[in-house]
Amino acid sequence: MLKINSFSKTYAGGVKAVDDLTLHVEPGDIYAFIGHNGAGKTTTLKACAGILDFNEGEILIDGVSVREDPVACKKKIAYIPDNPDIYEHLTGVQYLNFISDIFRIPPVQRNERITKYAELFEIKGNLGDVISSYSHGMKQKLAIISALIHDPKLWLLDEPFVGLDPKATHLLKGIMAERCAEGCAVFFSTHVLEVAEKLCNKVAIIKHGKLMASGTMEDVKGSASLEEMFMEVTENDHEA
Amino acid sequence: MKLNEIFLLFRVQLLGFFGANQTKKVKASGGKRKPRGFVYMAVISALAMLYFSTQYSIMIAMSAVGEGAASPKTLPLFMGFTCSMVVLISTLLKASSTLFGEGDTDMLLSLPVKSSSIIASRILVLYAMDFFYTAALLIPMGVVYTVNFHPPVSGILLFVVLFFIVPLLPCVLGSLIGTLIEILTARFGRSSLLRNLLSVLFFVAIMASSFSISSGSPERMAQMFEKVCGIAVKIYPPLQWVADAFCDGSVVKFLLFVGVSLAVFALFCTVVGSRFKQLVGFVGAKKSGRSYKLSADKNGSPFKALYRKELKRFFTSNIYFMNFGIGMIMAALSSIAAVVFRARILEAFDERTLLLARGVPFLLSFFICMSATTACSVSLEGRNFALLRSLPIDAKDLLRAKLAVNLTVTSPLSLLCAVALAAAFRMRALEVCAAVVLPQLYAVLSALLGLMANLRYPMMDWKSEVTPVKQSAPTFITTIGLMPLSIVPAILVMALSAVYPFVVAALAAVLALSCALCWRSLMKNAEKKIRAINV
Repeated sequence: MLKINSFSKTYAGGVKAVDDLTLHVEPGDIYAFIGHNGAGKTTTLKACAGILDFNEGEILIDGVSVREDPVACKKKIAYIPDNPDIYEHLTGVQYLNFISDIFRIPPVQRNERITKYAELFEIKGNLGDVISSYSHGMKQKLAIISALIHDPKLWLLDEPFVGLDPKATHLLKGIMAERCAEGCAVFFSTHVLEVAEKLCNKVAIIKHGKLMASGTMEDVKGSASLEEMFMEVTENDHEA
Repeated sequence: MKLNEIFLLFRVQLLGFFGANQTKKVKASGGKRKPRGFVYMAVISALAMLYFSTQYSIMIAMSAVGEGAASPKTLPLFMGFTCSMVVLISTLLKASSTLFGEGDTDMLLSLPVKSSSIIASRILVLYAMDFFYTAALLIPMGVVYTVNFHPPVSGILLFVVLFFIVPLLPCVLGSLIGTLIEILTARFGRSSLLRNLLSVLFFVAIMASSFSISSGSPERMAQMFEKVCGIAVKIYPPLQWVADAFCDGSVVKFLLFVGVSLAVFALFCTVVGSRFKQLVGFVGAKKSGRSYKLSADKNGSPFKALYRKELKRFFTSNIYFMNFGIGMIMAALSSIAAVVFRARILEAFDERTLLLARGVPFLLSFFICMSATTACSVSLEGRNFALLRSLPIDAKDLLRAKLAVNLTVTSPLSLLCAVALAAAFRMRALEVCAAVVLPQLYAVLSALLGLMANLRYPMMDWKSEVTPVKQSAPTFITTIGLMPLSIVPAILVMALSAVYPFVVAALAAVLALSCALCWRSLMKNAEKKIRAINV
């Protein structure tokens, strides 16, 4: 589903954010991407989403190169940033309709999906309000709904649980598991290691742009907890 | 580049203009939010601009063309050139932040839309922002020309279409120059200062060329307009095609203009679109890796800290600097020009040098009224305002810092300009006093009124600085609303020249009293007004 091969990204200031990263996400995977602040998680996710240009390596989504055919790749993915930058001057429903128009979702289907997810996330009553009046959590819920409307094969989520209430967090975890059971994949960054440990079948740990460990949850953490493993890997620079 | 994508992206941006969608939705849900005064002010300003533009068109038609001293085409050529220059400068000021600095860039780049469509939609946003100027300049011209010179019906029909196309080419050109400035300056650490410097240099070049055009001591206005148009067509040949299409109904020239405009637009979108991600990354990149050394010598009072922050905000935001700094740049350029071309100006005014001297304080005040940085200084805090409000800061200090920055921008420079102009025009003591004191009072009053307008109609939920600086109610109210404050007294002073000392003293007293009242109102309710802002 997602193949990142020897990906490197150096910013204009000369800082190498990601260095020779190789990582494969298969259909059905819920793949956690963990690391310190500034480790390169967001850079990687943005490059996968086609937001960021990169210098070296290759990123393929469902066999298509993000560099060569970004539009085709973006049709298959949904990206949710860590801080949902949604048009604050629009109402919730105007924003969802905008995204639906971009993905050319037929009216009946879009209404059905908007209703379903808005009810699930309990923001149906707020869809007519302007987004600037939403709380951070409500914006996050709206961003999640907009990422579900076009039924993407791959979800790229940057800190998706930040700002969500416990019920919405539970719901999101359920949707992630449900979608992966249907053959889709989720690749997301998080600092909540307990969630990653319970929810994900695979995990990757990144430090200073370099991949320190990756693979199935069991292989990476062994008999220790993910937190212990993370602390050991990031503090001792052990190569996995 | 797909038309439906461009339309979708453009429509979403358009809904944010002047908070139109918020107003509509809040109103629909029974809430009350909106600046009714803003709507009235906008309508009055639009009517005033249309009135002045119409008067100007009639003046050209009558004094220049009506006497047969120049070709009828002078009118569309001159107004078309004015419109193109206004759009070019206006676009240049906003190009970088609108094309590459919008907060929705990441979100849009993650969607299956072509980068060229994103660029095209953003150019259309720039185009839409300037449409007000286009309408105000070209509609009266079209009507005046049609009434006076009866162009063929085909010409009128072509003009209706051209009206929408004329701003496109200068808009793309402004975007191109803005992009080049951004690329050039992004390579340097202190890019914002360099960007401001380049923008000012470009503006000075335009002003200098305009001055060289109008300082050719033409004996008659008709000759001057024709001379200006001759140079304008040399600089910008498509203007001739517009005039030929409108005046002669030339379909070939019409198609040529529309074709070139659309081709340049498409070419720019395609080229910049193909490098959009790199440009966004390049423009957004910050120099890093320097070893920062913490120094202990930067401590000061909360007011000092707020003042420094505010001053830095002004000079590091290109759109903020150019939008509100342009008035004082023009004041400085005019003063330099007056000193350099002193003899020629005095000769032109001949017996009326007293009139010239008495106009100086109002000319400076006019520029000062264009420089009310306070009009968007609260809005520019954006989401950070919540953080600022959580700090143990006296609300009065917060407002004082914003006022102090505005006065730093306007006060010293206007004083220097007054002294330079007084020396250049050999003004008498009374005129010198007026030139020194009145602009200072205007500086204080415009800063206070700008701040009051911004506190009344704050706009904190923006994604791009262009929104509070160019599209917000307080900026509009302050910029357009303050102009008559300097124009009306100027007319009054000229009309009542027999009692000049009395009029000036009365005006100074009224201004000082207004300043005192505004200051009192602001300081008295500072805490309440700051608390009332929703972030």
